[in-house]
Amino acid sequence: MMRTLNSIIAISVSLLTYSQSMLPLVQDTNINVNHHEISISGVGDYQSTSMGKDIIKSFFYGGVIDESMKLSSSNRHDEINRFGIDLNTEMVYNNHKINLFKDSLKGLVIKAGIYNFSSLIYSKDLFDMAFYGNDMFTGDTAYFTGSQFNSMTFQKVGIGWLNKKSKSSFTLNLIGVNNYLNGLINEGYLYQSQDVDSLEFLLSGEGVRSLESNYYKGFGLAVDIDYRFKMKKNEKDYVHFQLVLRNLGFAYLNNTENYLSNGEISVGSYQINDLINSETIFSNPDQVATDLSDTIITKGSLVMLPAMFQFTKLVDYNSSNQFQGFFGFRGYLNNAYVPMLFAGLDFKASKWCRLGAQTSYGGFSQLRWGMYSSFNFNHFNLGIASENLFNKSGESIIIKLSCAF
Amino acid sequence: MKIVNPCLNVCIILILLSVFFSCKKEVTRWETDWSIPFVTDTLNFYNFHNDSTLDNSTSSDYLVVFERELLDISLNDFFFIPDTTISQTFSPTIGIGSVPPGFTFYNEVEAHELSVPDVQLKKIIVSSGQIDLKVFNPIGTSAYYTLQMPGVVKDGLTLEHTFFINAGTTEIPAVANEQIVLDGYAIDLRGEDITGSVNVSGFNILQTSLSIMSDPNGEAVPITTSDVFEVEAKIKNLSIDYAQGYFGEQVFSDTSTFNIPILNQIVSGNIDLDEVPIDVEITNGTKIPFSTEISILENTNSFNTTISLNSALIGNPQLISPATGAWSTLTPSNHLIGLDNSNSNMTNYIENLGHTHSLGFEVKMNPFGAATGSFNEIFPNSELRIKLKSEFPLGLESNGLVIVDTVQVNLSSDIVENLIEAKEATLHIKAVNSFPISGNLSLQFLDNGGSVLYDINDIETIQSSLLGFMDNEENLMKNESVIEVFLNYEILNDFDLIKNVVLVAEFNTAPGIIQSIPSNAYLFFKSNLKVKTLNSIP
Repeated sequence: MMRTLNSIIAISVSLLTYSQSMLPLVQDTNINVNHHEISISGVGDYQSTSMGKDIIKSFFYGGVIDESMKLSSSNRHDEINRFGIDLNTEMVYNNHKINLFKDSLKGLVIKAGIYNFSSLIYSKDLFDMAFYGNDMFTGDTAYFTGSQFNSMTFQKVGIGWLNKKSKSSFTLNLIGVNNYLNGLINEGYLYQSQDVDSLEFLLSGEGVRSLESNYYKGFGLAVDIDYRFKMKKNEKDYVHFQLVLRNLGFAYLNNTENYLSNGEISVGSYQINDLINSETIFSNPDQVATDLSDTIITKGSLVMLPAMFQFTKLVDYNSSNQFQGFFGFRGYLNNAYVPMLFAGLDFKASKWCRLGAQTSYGGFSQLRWGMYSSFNFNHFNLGIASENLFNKSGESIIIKLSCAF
Repeated sequence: MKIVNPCLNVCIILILLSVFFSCKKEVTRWETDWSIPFVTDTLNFYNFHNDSTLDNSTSSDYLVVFERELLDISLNDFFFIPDTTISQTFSPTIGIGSVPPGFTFYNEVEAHELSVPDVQLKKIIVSSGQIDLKVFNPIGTSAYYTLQMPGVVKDGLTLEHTFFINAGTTEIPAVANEQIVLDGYAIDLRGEDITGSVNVSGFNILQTSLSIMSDPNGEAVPITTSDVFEVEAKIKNLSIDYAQGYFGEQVFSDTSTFNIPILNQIVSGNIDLDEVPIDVEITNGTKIPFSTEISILENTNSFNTTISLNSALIGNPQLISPATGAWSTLTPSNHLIGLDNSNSNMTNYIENLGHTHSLGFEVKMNPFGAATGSFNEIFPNSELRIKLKSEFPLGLESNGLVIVDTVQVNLSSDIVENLIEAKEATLHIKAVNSFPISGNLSLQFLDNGGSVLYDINDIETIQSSLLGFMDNEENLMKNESVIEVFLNYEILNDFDLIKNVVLVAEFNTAPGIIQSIPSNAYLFFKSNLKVKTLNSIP
């Protein structure tokens, strides 16, 4: 009976180590009684300061973007706006039985995952130009300065070790890049006279995109570090913290096209549609980049991965408190991502169920509210969470399925 | 044994299929509004400001100041003195045994006639010209030849030139070449009578006097009858500043054609113009009587309708008096042939809106022949000019006056493609009318061959500027109109065929009112295509 009970507790605890970016994170200092753990997690998260999720969903699922959708989104826009997508799925295998380096506390970690991280900083005028056309800029100037776009899709396979007690881990990963695209408009504007008979288009910017048709456009190395430590709260209790660095590394792309545009283009007004065509921007960005570039150089490029770093005060699984708070901050190596602060409350509803709610501010968005729930079964755990439930400009879903044996 | 319900399998398949198809993404679609410049044009009279057609500076309303020079001839056009070679020779009739040194053995004056057909020149003043002299000496001693031209005077001195020539032989005379510049010389071409006095009735006579003296330092030589002493004088490149005489009955005639391009734009309708005079102004800066006759004045409009001006003044010669004074006091005589409604069918002539006018004229010198005497005089500043002039306020009453202009369409192929696929398109027209006349605008879309593909006639009226506002900056009344014209699918589908757009403006004034046209008035027309496109991303 005791063995069964211990097993259930151990499985539950081990499964509650949510995927690294999922809220909340819990800490368990027990030694796992199960020798093997496999967890599969998936994260789908898009956020925006301004762009409505109705528009974004139309791009994901299709459908008509009507005038009311455009208007409500346009009204939410400030001069500078952000948008980002974080999609990833990851599989982790932990072996607690093996003693690496002849250390009984060091277990084996094997990881694999695929990640897409895309970000966009853009001006309101860029949004309006793309979704309304140039008509609304008659006699006006549309500014694009500071807009930038970054997208990277990569896969990783890693191996490392973990501390069976503290759950700290280190993984060295081999990175294979599937796609890379980066662009920055240092200075850009489009002026149209009142009668649309004169046009002044300035574009000073640069861009890089991976070129090869191979499945992998380049390779690299990255490390994942999950460092956990505790601070004494009182004689009995500790406060547990976690510092995570994920995908901290780089990749070398064998063949990239580097675009450079630097200059003012005075063109006949009749060419305005050649320059700006919202459909082309979305459907054929390569063509747009080629059309607008002064110089195109093909060469190899070394690029940084969009590493994530996160510091968290963890939920102590062994605490007798039914309610526990957690907080922390998260960041990405990405210009568009503003360091995100988060805090929440964990509620232990029953032995097999935990519920929680959190709020966050920052990231690609602003204020967000989220909830999570976790259900523990024999050898299995299912966790479902969302970091963004009520926001009109983003959605988030996190699912994790784990088993221990 | 496990029994599986077949319905469960079907359900599972259906669920899988629905999951599969629900994953198929729909097309993402949204509409955007693009504004593309289409056609811009200004109908105005600016092109005619520098064409001496319209005066936009004298008054607030346009004045038609039309001036065309039909004839402008000056002294050198009246007659031309060709290069003339005169020769004076001397050969003794009897042999002279021995000519001592320093002995003048020949001194004679000869008269030569200048060949100027039908012109009797009494006197000329040379502005430029020269005489190339060639002198032959057949005797065995050097000699001095002195050429004098009686009546050729500059600064009170008669032209005289002495030059030395080496000894020659009868068979091979010595040759000397000299050049005399005639610039500024006055030449009396009347010659001398038998008494040696000036022949007052003479003309075209040039005199030379040649004397030959043996070298005072030479030897005595014999002269035989075979010796020929000769001087050749080639008068060339003679240009004159002044001429007096009788210049004959020369006739200058021409039919001049001139265009009034503004009327090219007017293709139909009628206008009633205020009083329009046409003046033919003849300025005679010569002291020669002339007669002038306008033989024809007609115009042809854009429909190839030609109308002639009928007047008693046309076809009848008018006498033109000579100028008065001389040199700096020369005062040309002016003669005006004024044509207007009182002496011609001028109104009909103008209202034919002819853009090509033809005027035939004939100018005759000395219409009464030589009876006028030999007192024709031409000075350096003498000109005979004929000008056609007209000046009147541009005021008109128009009834269906149509002005057209053709503008090329320059749309890129990408835009045309977008237009063809456009969900809808409207032509957004902004018109600014500063003419005090209302107009109806229509558009014609032409293909490459100039055929009309589509007409858009149902465009709103562009109101007269009198109903608008005063623009103090331009000092013009203006009326702005914004017009939306829906382009149907047929037009959009054929946009790749459209190469030109014809703007047609039909103007109408209130009946019976002649409306003055303000200076610098214009009708500005700008159009944008407002295109709604449906963007889709699969």
